[in-house]
Amino acid sequence: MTTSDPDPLDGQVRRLVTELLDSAPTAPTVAELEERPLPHRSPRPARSQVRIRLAVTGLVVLAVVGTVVGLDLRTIQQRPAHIGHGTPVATNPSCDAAPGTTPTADVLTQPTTGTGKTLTAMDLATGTADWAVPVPDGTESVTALPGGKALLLGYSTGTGTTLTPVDLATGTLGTPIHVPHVVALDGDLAVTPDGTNAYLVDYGSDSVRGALSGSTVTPVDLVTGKVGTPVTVGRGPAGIAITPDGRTAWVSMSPGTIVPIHLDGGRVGTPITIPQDPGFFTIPGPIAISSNGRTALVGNLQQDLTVPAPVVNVVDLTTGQAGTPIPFGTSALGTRSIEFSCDGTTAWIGTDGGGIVSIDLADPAHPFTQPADAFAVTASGTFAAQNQSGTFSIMRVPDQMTTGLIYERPGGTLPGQALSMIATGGPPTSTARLTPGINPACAAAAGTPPTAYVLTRPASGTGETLTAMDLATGTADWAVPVPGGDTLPDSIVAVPGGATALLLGRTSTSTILTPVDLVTGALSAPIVVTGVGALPFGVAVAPGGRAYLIDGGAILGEAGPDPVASPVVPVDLRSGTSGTPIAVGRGPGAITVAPDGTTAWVAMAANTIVPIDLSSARVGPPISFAPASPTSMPASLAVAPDGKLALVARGGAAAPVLDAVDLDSGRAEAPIPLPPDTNLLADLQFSCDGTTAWALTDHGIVAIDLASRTAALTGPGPGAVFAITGDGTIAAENQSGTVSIVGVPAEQSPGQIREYASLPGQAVAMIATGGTPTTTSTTLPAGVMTRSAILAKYASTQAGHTVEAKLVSLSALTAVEQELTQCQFRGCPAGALVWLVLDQGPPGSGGLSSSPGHTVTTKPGNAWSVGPVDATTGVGRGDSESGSGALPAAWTQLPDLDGSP
Amino acid sequence: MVNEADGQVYEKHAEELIRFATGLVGPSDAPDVVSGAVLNCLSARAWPTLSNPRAYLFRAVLNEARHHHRSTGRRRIREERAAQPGTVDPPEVRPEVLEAVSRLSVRQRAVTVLTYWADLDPASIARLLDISEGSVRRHLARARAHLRETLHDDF
Repeated sequence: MTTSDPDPLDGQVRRLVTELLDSAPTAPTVAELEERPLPHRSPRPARSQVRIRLAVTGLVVLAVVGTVVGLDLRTIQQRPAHIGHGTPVATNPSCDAAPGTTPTADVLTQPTTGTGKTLTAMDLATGTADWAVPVPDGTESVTALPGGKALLLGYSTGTGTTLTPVDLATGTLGTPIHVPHVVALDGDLAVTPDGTNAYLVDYGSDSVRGALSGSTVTPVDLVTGKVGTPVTVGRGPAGIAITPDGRTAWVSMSPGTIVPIHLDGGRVGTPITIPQDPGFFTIPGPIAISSNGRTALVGNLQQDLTVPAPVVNVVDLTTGQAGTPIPFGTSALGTRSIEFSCDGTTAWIGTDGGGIVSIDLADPAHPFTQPADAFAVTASGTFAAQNQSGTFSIMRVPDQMTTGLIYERPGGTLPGQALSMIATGGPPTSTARLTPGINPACAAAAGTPPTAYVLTRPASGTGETLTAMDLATGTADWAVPVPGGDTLPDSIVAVPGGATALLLGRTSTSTILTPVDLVTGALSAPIVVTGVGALPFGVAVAPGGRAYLIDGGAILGEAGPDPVASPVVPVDLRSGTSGTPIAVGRGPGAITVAPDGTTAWVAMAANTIVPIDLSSARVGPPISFAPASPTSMPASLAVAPDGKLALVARGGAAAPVLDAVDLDSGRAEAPIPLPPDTNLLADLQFSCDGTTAWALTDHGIVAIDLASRTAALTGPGPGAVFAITGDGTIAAENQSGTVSIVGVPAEQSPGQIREYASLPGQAVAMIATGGTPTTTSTTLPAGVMTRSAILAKYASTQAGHTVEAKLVSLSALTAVEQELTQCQFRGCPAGALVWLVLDQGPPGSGGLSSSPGHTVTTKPGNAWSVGPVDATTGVGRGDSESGSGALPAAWTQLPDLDGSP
Repeated sequence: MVNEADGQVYEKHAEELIRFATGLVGPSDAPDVVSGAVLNCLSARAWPTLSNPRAYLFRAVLNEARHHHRSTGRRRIREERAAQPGTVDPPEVRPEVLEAVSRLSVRQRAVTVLTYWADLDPASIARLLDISEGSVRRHLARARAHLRETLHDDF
């Protein structure tokens, strides 16, 4: 083909375009234009009249309801306040909830098909519904009020707007207040902080041609139900917020202004102009005001799509000046709601079609977007409801993380689609925060004998094996070969939750994390982490499924003059993706996650430890301790279970040093002396009760009595590895080609070593799960378990049975299996049912097996029971059956379970 | 209420707007997109002062189509799964046409339609859509690359 030849593609494209455009329907007439609703503005299914929703969701008003929360000065001082005067703080009744109050999400939903909306109170601790009440079909949003109340906002043509109070404790609906002639859609509503008065923006009309044609704000006395005289603010009010002192309402107007109404008298003040994008169709809408009343955030209801990114405007209400708008991503179309986090450091934005966005107000250049349809800010964090195939899940979402940290609450799902959500409840108590634990063995239920997971290497030859040793019976539950070659793992890391661990291996250029299912021994696909080198200096795993690796790719210079800067790299274990590296400075050598899961601590060559706030990935001020030697390097770091004490093991050319740092005061104590001639190597760990710490030395395992701050060698000698359990400390000791798993006495005595089990090979690394054994043996009812099904093995042994119990995988239960797989990191969804088959044979004779075709068999002669079990609670549901001998044919192919409670 | 003058402006361009919108979102959604775009234009503060309302309307239709495309994406997938074959779009458009168009972004569709249907050159399209001429050429080149992969020789 020469350049003069026509490209045949041109003819094809012309035919395509012609055929397509020939199918064009008749253009709407002018009359039809006036009657046609606007196209969808959100992912919600449209209702005919609600399509003209250039209005704000009810969530925005959360930001302006309630009383002022107390300022956490320590937190605020750490963050530069780039917005307004001082850090804005949220005004949200939920932020005032008493500590320890379990958050409850109150979610307005509508079915995916048909009619009928429901308001459901979900207890986020249990994932169960406290109550659910049908609400009028016209209900558009729910707004939190002080004192455990809420307000439903509804609208219907002919009736106008209706406000219906709700008692959030019981779900009881109060007497509706009708506001005729006012079109307030989707929560064009603000309530005074004392909850006594509501103000409704009049959208103007529920027909398209009247969109934004209103001009008034109507007050409603929520105590008497009396509708007040409308205040005229000018054409086009779109959003409203009230200052925390209850004196002023700010109304965003479609020409690009916000207008104050002085609520004492209803006088309208001087407008403040909002900067407009150079494009067209930019209409200010949702507005939120900080609790100090100085800063307003104003979103655009609708925005010209030629503008690269949607923006939120920042207005200094004290000077009347609007600052530089903050862009927040590229996929959102406009803003539906804005809310401050309880500490005021973060702005949460609900968008049209672009999920929810969090903006760190001190660092607004890095917004974080999460797909979700509604959200609610609480003192415990922010929760979001995300619709998924006809149901929605409630998740906790991070403030500023690019990966991970998003998980479903166990059972936090509901049928239907989320329209609007509020939440109440305070921050968890310190006890609750400690519950998840970093060491799963410490979090295990009492009465669960420990299982040791030992990575062993043969005394000769190659090939490593990971073995799960049941220390109650001395038998191996399973043993799996682990990948060898250049990915040979040399350590195993416990993952909070206890269902999974990570094998840590490496290639010449990268680190390999291989998740292993601790119930079955099944290995998942390895996660190849690049950018951290072949040997990360430290690995720590936080609750929620994120690992943090210290980059070992750079050559760490000798400590002292100029150690090399290496970042901490977060890795989302669910997706296998690495997040943005966190710069911590020069010479990081060890990392650990505090037991409450909120903070990672990094030990640095400069004789400091540095905190990383895991919710924001921000690095806090370092704590220094006296340098013992200019050449000492941090080798290991541990934080006590109560989060108050950190121990730092430092080695190097000079004598090892064990530093103790009081994390409450931020001061270092005198170093703890070590036994003579010991060289501290690694692996500092605290016992579950926090009274003892353990470390490996070249002379063996050292126990550090924290009451006396003294350290002494224990029984297991050089070459042993150890693991902390709820039962104490166990060690795997190499002896002539076998490994003995022994108990380590806490009394720092070389004697009294109890041998649990032995394995061939040499111990490389070990973790353990399990709690403190009890002496009480209880009978396990058939089909009834006490823990998540994925941990069924532990549950069965906990109850004192000599029982093998395994999760039965059936092809018909694919969905449930997937959910359970997710349970490893996210917890099981509410009401998920699994079949559990117990093969109740004598010790060591468990014979349950599941063939690849999912046919279940039991060992002849063993007793068995079978029944559906709630995957979350382990409680049996429905009929179960017990017997002995061969499993009846009816149970070898288990029927489907619908997964509903 | 749409006043008489505005109504006349709309009626003058209605036919080309509905065809343009059909090229962007298909025949089923085109009336919604045109309605939304026109109503937005008529309520815009800049509308009375415009010297080229036709270009403004075209840009509005393009914006509305992009808006529509994004905000209805998930809903559309769900509805299409539930719908019987043949009910989503009029049967006179062959499935391969819709398939080919579906692979283009809304902007790529816009420059393709204006190039092959309105016979506009890149400079004119750039003026009409208020984007750079380079952007027009890039969108068109990408659209043609997609279509070359999609359209068979006998199309």
